Amino acid sequence: MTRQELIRVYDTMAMPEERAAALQDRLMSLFESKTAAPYDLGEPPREYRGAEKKPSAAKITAAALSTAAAAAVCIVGGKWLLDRLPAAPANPNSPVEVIATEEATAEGTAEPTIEPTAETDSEVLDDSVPLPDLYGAFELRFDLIEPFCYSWCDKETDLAPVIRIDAHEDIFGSVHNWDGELLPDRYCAGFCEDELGWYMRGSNRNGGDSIYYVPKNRRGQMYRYDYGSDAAPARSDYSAVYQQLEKGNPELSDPNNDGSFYASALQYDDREPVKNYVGQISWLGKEMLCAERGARWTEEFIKWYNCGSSITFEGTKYLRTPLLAAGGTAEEDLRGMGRVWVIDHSDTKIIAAFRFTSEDWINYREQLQADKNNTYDISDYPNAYAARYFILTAEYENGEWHERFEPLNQIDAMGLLGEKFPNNYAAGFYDDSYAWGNRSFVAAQFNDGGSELFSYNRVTDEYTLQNRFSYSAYYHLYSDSQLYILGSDENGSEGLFLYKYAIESGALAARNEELAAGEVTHRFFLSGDGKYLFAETKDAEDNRRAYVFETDDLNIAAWGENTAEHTQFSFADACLVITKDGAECSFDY
Amino acid sequence: MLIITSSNFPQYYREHIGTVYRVALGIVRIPEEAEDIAAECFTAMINKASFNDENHLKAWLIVTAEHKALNVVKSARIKRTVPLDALNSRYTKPNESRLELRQLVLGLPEKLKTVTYLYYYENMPTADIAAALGLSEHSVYRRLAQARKRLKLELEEGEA
Repeated sequence: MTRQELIRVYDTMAMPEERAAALQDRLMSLFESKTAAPYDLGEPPREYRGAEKKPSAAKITAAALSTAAAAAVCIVGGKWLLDRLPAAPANPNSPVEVIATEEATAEGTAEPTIEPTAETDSEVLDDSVPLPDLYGAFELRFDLIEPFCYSWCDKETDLAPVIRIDAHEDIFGSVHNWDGELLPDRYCAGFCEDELGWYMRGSNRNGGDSIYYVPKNRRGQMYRYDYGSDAAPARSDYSAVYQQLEKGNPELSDPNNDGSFYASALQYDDREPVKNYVGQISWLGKEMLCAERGARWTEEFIKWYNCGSSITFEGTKYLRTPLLAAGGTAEEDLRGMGRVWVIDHSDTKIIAAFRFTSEDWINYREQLQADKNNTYDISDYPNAYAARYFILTAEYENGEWHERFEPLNQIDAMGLLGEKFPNNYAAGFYDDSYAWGNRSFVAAQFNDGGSELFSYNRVTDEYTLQNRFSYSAYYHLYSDSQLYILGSDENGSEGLFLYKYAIESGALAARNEELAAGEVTHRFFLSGDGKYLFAETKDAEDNRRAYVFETDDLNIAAWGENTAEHTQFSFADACLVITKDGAECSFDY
Repeated sequence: MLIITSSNFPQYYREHIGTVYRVALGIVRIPEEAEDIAAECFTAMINKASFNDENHLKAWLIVTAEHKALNVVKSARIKRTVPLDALNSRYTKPNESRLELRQLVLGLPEKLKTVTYLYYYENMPTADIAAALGLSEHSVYRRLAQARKRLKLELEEGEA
């Protein structure tokens, strides 16, 4: 088939003009009535030959189950979980969500305007919140008590107003499946706590840096302190967003276009490495930010990053992949903080995985990108050597850090098709990331062609392929013995799938594939008693669904949806309340 | 910021109806169903009303059309109930060769359809496709390669 033939095929698939015009007329009528219900275009759904429109299986199943669940009673004593944010014992009526902030304008060291979160201003003003003077002299002991990752959104992004801390996420990696979203802040940096609240360090990919503060007595509030945003006009979309919002201070932008704050992981070739991450904060006049223990953390951070920019192994040279830095020049799939995953961490020991990409592949990719005639076929490129993982083990002894940088054995991505592969963990050819399970019993690899779940035998140091999925974006939760994965394909188009695995064996214990396509996970968490899984999803039109799953079999115990037409559920006071079909049920978490 | 109003709606509707309809049709393969999806997409567009810019609008429409179409396929099980042969008579009558080509295009895996259409028909750059669909450009390349290979190989098999 030639390209022209292909185009002619598409030509024949045009919408008939009379139908297009009729539809336009009907759509125009929507402007005339503010009360017009969505999708109510005055014509009933058509019948078509050979098939009949039906409600989705998910709706049928959920509706049936919801009827049964209508008699459910509130489960008392549930433990409040805000993902992994430390629970506040004093106030059982704390707001459910930590709501994203209005962004404070960064004006260097000038006194900023600190805006409350999405709750009403009057409410905040009426109940004074002790706000630390993070723009003045202060000391915060940011520490990596355990690896974690958090992410959040603000109202401008139209994403979920949720904060998420996950000890099992890659600490420097991007938050899975959110690439491409207008999500200004997404990287992990540090976390600490004092008597007033919790503090989190974060950044956007353009160099902006922020501290997020959640008061302990107002857990529904989150405040953001900005320390400069990169607003150079040539930067990526994020900068544009900042500019549109009149946020960011150009004077604090990166004048040399060298990658700004987070360039330490991104330095290649002739780029001048940033001395250290925290030092950039010092540049902003925050010398006290990481005193004492924080300084040691800084050293650790540098250890993780300063592993070199290349490794030669078995005759192939591997490079740290360039990333979409403040310069915004690299490919989207190379975004991230150097593909570093912290596997284990203590005060004296760090084990981290680094991703390197073979030089051959990088050269090939350049040819591919320059290939206007599609001469090259990316599928023809051998998977072997394309990307490799290396494990860094750094131990602190006698006042010094001692590193072991172990190249993993050669793994062809296709080798993952085998039942077992050696004691290494290598990425495939494509976009990938992985999560190390609880105590490394389970490992999962995710790429855009699918995902594999492996069990890991520590004694024999072997991985065994347990299952292969069709999705690559995922949320996962661990209980003592179970792994729950709520995943989707890379853009959510094929719907969500919920799987339950036994952690030690990796055996698939239950599944549910009845969630509708087009939805993405908004939040996903376990009830404190472990009986229920809660998931809230949203679709492209911000229709939201809340699901309650039985953890035993993953059946839907209840569900509700909030749309423009009706509101059936609410998360409030550590309890999900679903009201539909004339009945109300609630589930504590 | 792009605000959809009654004044500018016709312009954007005309600009994107072809894309939305073809994306949907490529997946659901039923013209009437694709038309319904297009109606839903543009209704949602009116309700949403606010977009960052025209690129955002286009990307949003494409993704929305794709998701809605995939939802229809998934929920109504169209794949199982409407054979490809039954659809051919519903289009304008093509010649036999073109019919075969259409079957190949419509027979592409769902994952490859939208990328193929946007690249080859809409002439969208891979970077724009990637941005619109939330994929990496790398993934777009790979899908295009898969689609190329599939279209070519299957046609050869048919000829043999």
